[in-house]
Amino acid sequence: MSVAPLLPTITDENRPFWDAARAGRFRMQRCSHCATLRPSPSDICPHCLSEEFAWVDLSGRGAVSSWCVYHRAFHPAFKERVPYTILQVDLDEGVRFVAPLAGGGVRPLKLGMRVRVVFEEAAEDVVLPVFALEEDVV
Amino acid sequence: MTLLRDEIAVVGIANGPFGSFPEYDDYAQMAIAFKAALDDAGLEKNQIDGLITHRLGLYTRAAEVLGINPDYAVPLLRHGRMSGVAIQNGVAALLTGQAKYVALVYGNNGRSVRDLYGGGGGLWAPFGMSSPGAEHALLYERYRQKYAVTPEKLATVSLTLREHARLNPEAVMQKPLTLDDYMNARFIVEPLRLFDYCLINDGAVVMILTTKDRAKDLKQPPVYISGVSTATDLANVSTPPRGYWREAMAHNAERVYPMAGIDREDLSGLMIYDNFAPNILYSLEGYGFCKEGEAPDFIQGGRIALGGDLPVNTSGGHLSESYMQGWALNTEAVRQLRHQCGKRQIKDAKAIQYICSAAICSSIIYRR
Repeated sequence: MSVAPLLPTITDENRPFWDAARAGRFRMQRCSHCATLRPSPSDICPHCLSEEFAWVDLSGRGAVSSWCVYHRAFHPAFKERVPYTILQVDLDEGVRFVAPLAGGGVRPLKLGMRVRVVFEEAAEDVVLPVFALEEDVV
Repeated sequence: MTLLRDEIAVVGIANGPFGSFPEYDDYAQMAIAFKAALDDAGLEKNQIDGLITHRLGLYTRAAEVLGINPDYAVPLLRHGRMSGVAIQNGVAALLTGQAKYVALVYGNNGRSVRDLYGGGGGLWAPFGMSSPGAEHALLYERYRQKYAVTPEKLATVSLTLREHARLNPEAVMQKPLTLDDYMNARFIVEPLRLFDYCLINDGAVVMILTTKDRAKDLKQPPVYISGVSTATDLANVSTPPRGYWREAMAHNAERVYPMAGIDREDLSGLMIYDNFAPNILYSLEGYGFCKEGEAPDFIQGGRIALGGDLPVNTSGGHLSESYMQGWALNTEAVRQLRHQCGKRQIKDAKAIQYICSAAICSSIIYRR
């Protein structure tokens, strides 16, 4: 029996992120005034407090700055996925992002390994940006 | 820098029992501890004119259950980092004359309600990333890669604290813990194993503070709050912290020792917020007891055990006594300084520092 996935709570603030993911794009808010990127969506720039911003495409490339492996599911949606790996990635644009290792499971990892964003369908109409190791991407 | 020493004192403390008490809700557990703390201090209920509630859902219900109308009433959110904030606020309220006797009240029914600390909430939950343990797993994986820390070295934290707990009749964990037990235990979120995690339980803790002059007339020898400082790393709180809160800790260290008029070598012991075992390493480094990356070696050889140079969490802490979100570490500091700790007493204890390292870093120095 399959369990319902844990769907993101879509708000006006984060809708463009999830819409973009569905279209195979990895986007983030960038302040139009000071160019600060914000991984946690907001109407206001936390650097200069400007209200002007745009959603911009990111390269989706970065380096692993840490990781952890879930052996326990804290939500029923992940019960059949354990053990799975979460990567902490410092994106080339200078911001930190957290997402699963593509394909799930566990791999030998090292700090600094290069990764890039790929997209996985989590549910009908819900696509998650996840990280694949560069060495796996042809 | 204001020398806080001798201005504010802890005059009453009580720990409720820690464990599984589905028959009492968190307010009732808190009220039972409140009564015990009044008895400890030799105060009457209606002398309490300041109330700071922590974790309890509603300050209104807390005051109703206690049947008091304090002049000063402040509710704090359920985050464990708020215990230090509560004590800081109690000190400020007393110093500015907002209240004469402030009760800091904490109740927790996390075990009965099966509090999971993870699952649905937060920015990363749809990615499968939630729970404070996983945030600490990310922090620790990077740390142990960078400094090549073996699991055996980290195990010293859990093993030492278990030995302390076995000298504390109130501690939930009384069985010995061996290195094999530790190594063979399952991972929860790797690299953290079961015994790196704190113990979710029901329980309550109450502390009563007053000014030095009023403290002299009460039942217990006063334990003074000599230094208190908080600093935060909140602006990027949704993304994993880059620096183990080191800047915030360093800021606290710059303030809290001069405020108390003492330095690290004057401390008889430390009470460090051990929600997860590695947090003790970051805290030792952040406050300058050793250098960055050195804590895994610094804690070996019995240094942080009772009888060592710098005993840490003599009650067993969150890992082996119970997770009371910092509170039972603070009451342990007071008991040590009253010399009421029996078999786990630090000989001639004079000064103890409490440290909580999180998005709000707090530190308190207690002296007798």
